[in-house]
Amino acid sequence: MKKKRNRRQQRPMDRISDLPDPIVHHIMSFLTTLDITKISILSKRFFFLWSSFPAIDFDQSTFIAQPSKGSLASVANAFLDHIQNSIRIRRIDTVLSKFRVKATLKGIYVDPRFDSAIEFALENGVRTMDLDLGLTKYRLPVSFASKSINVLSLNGFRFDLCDLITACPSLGVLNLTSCELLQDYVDFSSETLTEISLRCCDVKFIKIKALNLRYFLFEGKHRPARHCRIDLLKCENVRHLYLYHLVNGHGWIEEHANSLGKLETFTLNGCQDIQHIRVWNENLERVDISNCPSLVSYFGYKGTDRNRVCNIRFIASSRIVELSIADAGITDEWVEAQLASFGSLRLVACNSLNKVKVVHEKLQELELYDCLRLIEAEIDTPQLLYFKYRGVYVRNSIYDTGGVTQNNDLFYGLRKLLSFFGHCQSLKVCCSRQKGIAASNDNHKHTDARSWQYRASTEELLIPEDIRERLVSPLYDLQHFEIHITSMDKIETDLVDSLLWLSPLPKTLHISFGLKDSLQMIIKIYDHSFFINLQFAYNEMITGEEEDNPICCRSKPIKCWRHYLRRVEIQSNDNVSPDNVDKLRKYFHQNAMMLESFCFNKLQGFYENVVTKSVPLKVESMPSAAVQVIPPAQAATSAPHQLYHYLTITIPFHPQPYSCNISQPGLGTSPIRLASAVLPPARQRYRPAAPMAADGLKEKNYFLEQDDLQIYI
Amino acid sequence: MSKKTLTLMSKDKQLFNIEEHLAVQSVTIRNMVKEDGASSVIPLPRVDSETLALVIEYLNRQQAPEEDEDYVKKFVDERGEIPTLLELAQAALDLDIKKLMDAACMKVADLIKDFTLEEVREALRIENDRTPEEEKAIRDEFQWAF
Repeated sequence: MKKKRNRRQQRPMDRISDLPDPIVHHIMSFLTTLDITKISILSKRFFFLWSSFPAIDFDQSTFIAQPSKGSLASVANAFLDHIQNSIRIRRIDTVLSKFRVKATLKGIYVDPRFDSAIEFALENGVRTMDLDLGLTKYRLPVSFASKSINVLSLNGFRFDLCDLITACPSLGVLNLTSCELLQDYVDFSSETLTEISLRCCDVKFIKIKALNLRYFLFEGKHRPARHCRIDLLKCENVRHLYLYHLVNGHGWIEEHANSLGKLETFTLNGCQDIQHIRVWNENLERVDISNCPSLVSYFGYKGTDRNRVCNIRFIASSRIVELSIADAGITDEWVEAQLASFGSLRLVACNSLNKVKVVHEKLQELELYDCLRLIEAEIDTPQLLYFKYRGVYVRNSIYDTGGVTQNNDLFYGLRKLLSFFGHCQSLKVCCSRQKGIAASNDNHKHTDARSWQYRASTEELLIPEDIRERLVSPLYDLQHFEIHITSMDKIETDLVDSLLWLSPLPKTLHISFGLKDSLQMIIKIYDHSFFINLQFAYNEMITGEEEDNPICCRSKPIKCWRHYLRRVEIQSNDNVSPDNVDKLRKYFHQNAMMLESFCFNKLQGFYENVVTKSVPLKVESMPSAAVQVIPPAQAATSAPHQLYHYLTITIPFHPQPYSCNISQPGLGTSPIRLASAVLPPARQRYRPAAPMAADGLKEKNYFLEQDDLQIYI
Repeated sequence: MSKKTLTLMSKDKQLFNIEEHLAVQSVTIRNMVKEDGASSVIPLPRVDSETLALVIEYLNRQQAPEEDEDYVKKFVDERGEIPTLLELAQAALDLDIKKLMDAACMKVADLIKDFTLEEVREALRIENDRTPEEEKAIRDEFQWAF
């Protein structure tokens, strides 16, 4: 390579040959070991510069690159000779910044030449030491101690880690690979350590107390997998955590939840037995989870920084079943690209989503919750069992018409929307007006706003007669239909009629209202609001009798409930006025051709009302009936939580004379026995894998749903 | 607040003005300013005017932090002659400007790493003061490197 000459080269030469040592050393620091060695030959001065260069590097791979004969052992021997000779001529006059040896000393466990090289480095105040001896277990000198050493990397050594930590009080970074730590139980503390990497080290238990630890990497032996217990509970500032091939018991992540509160990077790879991860952490920037066969759920991310979540990747994490992301700036494309393996996906308040496409063969549960900018979701998931959506359905039309809705488009839209769910087994629809909308009418009095809300809410669901005549019901296959309306104070038969048009053959129709609209809240609203649960039993289709029903369904291929309904059970809590029940009863009697029984169940808390009002109602209305008022068992018999008491009144159509049999705890006319606790099918849907036994109710997922608990005595 | 200006003087007595907040990227100047306020001219007896002009240009750069790295690299690349780079490194050493020092030395290392020994000697103006016998002895010692 020829240099171009210019006028600057004509300048006096003495300047350049007088280059200060620091500049030459600085230049050398950017050269390879081989080039640095060549420098030594340039001149006497450069030999001196070489020998005083404060970074020493021995690499056997460059050493044996030249033709060399002999066995591996003789090469190693020659290399050790070279290290010894080379160390002898070094004259370090400043601090040795770096000392590195990379060699293959297979079968060599102790060697005085190498020991003296280590000693030389320690004496010269080495800052960074990197010793890689390959597949051996070299015995680190017992005298190994340094006040200056800051970064230490060891590969293929045998030593006592606790002693080493004590002997190196300035150690900040520790990398150990394939080391034997002499003790199975390692327990140390350090104020200075900021990074620890342990790769393939034989150890059963590590307990680290290091407040300044930012980075921790553990890589277990791939095969055979060894159990290793890691205790980082006293490392509260870990930012970057990498775990590879760790066999560490199921609950490790949960146990460490407190000490991982500042995590930014989290990598989990090949950890066989970790099942659940819950890291709720706003700092989390990057999550990589791969090859974790036991992992079934991941509740990972709650963030405020909109850009960060893009770094979360899930590679080959084929067993992660649940993923939940809240309040993160994920994009439509991200959702589409990442849906590799989940069975359950929950996206909450991801306001950057606009049009989501979920095409997935295995997805079973999907929630799109409060993603306010979401305007379109294409969902193609043949295995989907559970879907939950909360968001804006009709933006303006209702508000614009001030509650008097003349716009049939609304009903067509609703019907179309619902028809997507026509083959579901259960469906819950919540109609709620947000506070902001009520506030926008702040010129109205409170009562006016309330009634306006009420009209708007229910009228959405009151499908006009002419539409009902013309169109096919959207929810023919639906078995369990739940309606929750935030602002409503009693159940109108019109509403029931309309709902039964939407879903003509339900097994249960569940209507509730109150301020809260989430599933769990149904229990909580027992005390102050209303909920009604209609259960239906149908006859087998009796074709011969169809023509006797001239009311409806003349031109429709599937007849509605009117033709088959045999039994109606109504469960309700507070605020059901007898008139209301009576209206419903009349409604069903008028409409259901095959109706045989009409049952009404009420909470024990309203026992008085039921006995005094409902019973006479039934006695007068039923031609012959047996009334049983059966209070339930006390809560203590099954779950430790509050258990709501049902009062069951059963009025079967029966030719026997009327008799009333009332028993009540405390009054104690009959012993009470808990026979079974049943979750109705509608609730089983939410957790498909849930056990059905009463024990299951004690689990967290269920304790809020005890309104479903029915006790038969 | 008006920006304070410092005056630097090269070894050939040329004067260069630079705003103080830029000049203090040099640790040396920062310390001088701290000590006596650097009211008068700051002499730089080992830096010639051509090099000092380059240093001033470097100090005056207006780069966003994330682009700074690239800028420094480009700045050095454009002056990729070894003598210039060594002068720059010398000035950077005297003025204690780490980034410039790193970039200049790295560039030199980059240039000489593929040179033969003779070319390196020529580039760095190194006189071989060894006898052939002495040189052979060293070569034997480090035979693996050659």
